[in-house]
Amino acid sequence: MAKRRTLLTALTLLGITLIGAQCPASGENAPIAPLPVREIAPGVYAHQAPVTAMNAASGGDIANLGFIVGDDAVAVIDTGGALVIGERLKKAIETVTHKPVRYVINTHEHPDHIFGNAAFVAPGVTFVGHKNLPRAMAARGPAYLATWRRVMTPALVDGIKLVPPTLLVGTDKDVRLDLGHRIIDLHAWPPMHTDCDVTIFDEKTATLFTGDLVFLQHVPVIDASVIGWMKALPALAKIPAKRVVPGHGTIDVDWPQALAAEKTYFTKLTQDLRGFIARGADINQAAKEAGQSEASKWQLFGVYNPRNATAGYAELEWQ
Amino acid sequence: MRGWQGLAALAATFALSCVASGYLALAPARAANASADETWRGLADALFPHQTLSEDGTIIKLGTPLSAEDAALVPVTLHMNYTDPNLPLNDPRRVKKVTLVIDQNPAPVAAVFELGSKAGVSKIETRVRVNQNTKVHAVAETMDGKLYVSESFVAAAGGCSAPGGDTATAGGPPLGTIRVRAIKPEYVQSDARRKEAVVMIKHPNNTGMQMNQATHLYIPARYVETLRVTQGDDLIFAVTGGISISEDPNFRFDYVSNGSGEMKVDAADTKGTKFAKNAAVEPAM
Repeated sequence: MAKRRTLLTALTLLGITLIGAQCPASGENAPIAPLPVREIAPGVYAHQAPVTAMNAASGGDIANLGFIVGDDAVAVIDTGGALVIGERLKKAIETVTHKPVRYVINTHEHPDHIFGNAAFVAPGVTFVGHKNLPRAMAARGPAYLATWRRVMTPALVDGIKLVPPTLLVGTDKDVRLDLGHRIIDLHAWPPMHTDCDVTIFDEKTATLFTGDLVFLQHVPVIDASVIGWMKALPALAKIPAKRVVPGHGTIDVDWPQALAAEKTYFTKLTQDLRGFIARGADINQAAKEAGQSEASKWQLFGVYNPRNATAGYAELEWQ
Repeated sequence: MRGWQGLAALAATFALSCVASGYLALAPARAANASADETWRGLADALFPHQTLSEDGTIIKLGTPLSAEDAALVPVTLHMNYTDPNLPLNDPRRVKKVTLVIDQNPAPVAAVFELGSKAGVSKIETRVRVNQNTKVHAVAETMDGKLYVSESFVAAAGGCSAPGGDTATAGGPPLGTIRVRAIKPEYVQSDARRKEAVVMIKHPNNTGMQMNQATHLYIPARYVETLRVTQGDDLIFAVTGGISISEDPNFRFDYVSNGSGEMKVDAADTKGTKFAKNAAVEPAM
């Protein structure tokens, strides 16, 4: 009897080891280096991406990503700007825990946050996002793939699959996910950075993942509504977070101080734009000149500020 | 493929809307690898068969940003007869019609402008959607029937499928709201005899290229098809537009005032809904 039990135990242990071993998916030959992540709070991990443009050199690694480990399961927050970034994030999770990924949450539809989604497609994995996210991905996905294929090289973009969420967060009600004695709260916002922004709050450690509702060092990008964004800043600030992971820029920062820089930027930009509109200056002049006093405070300012000024002008014209 | 079904339906819609202006809708015969020049030649042949398009920057000049900050909102400026503001209104070189073409867009004819013979419009600025890197052309027809072309290039992508409509700020003005803004005289850049104004209409200008993710059907195209701006009995300009005009169509223009002190805007969209606005424009606020 004892011998059989020992054999059974040995076989079970062997089985567990084999199941637990993270075999590379068939077709992969090169080992994948895990994405560097830091445990910023117990069970909360974040990847600090460089603040840079999405191109072949950066390989799509330009947005902060993260994951939260509960007693039973893991929730992933954004998957990077290329399939390989998603795969590297998956590897990073596997070096930290054997618990299965149950949720992949996209904070919004921009390619640097969703292009790695396919790396996580598996039975038992649910993709989560704002109720507007499926429409946004369907509308913009093909154009994103075509553009980034050109900018980042086909090798980085071929194989990317757009995986929309099936579990949707509406603006009327938060979605609470239980990772096993660990609740994370998902909140969907009205149009701000995009029209499908979602933030994730880990109740255990009071850590807030803001997606691109917060930018540090990287100039904020206005893709939906600067007015809506400014209006919602007080509500964002009220979230009782002890630390925050922004979509771009330094991770693990104090809250709500992290909001101060972008609030100043939006205030200055909209002040300038209102002045241009009142004086009858046209949209081209505003694109060149509005917000310029903020230039030295932000990276990639020349890339995105004219765009922000153009979008803001068109929005403020209707005020 | 649903994409092509959607585009075919769109082309049919555009065909109907284009009959009045005399142009057949273009399901352009553009081979996937056609060069930009070949694409333009094909469009020009279809739009202006057997006609010479001359280049003369004093007749028509197109202004575009080299790179579109936001592909769904690309400012485009048309300058007509602008080097000679004193050119008599009935001079044969005066521009009477301008066709704006965004060569690589699914619906390349973005707009056709008809200019009032008494208004002397020398500048129209609007915003367009640009779907991919493309040449842009403005073709002007002068009073004597000659055609002139100005060419430009814009680097951009994705403008035609960008989500729109419900990204509007909550509580914004309802669909069809028209605003007329008179630019104060001290800020008018062109010659002093001209006034400058902005006409804007709240409208999603749906392209018909966005998919409803639940039904997998395309949200039907619904866009502003005609917009007419008059002062008293005189036409300032009229535009026949398509899906390449950005959400909330916006036109900034100069004009010679006829002293009527009022501006009237009449517009209609593809759903048959009509919109109108009367505005007192002089003196400007």
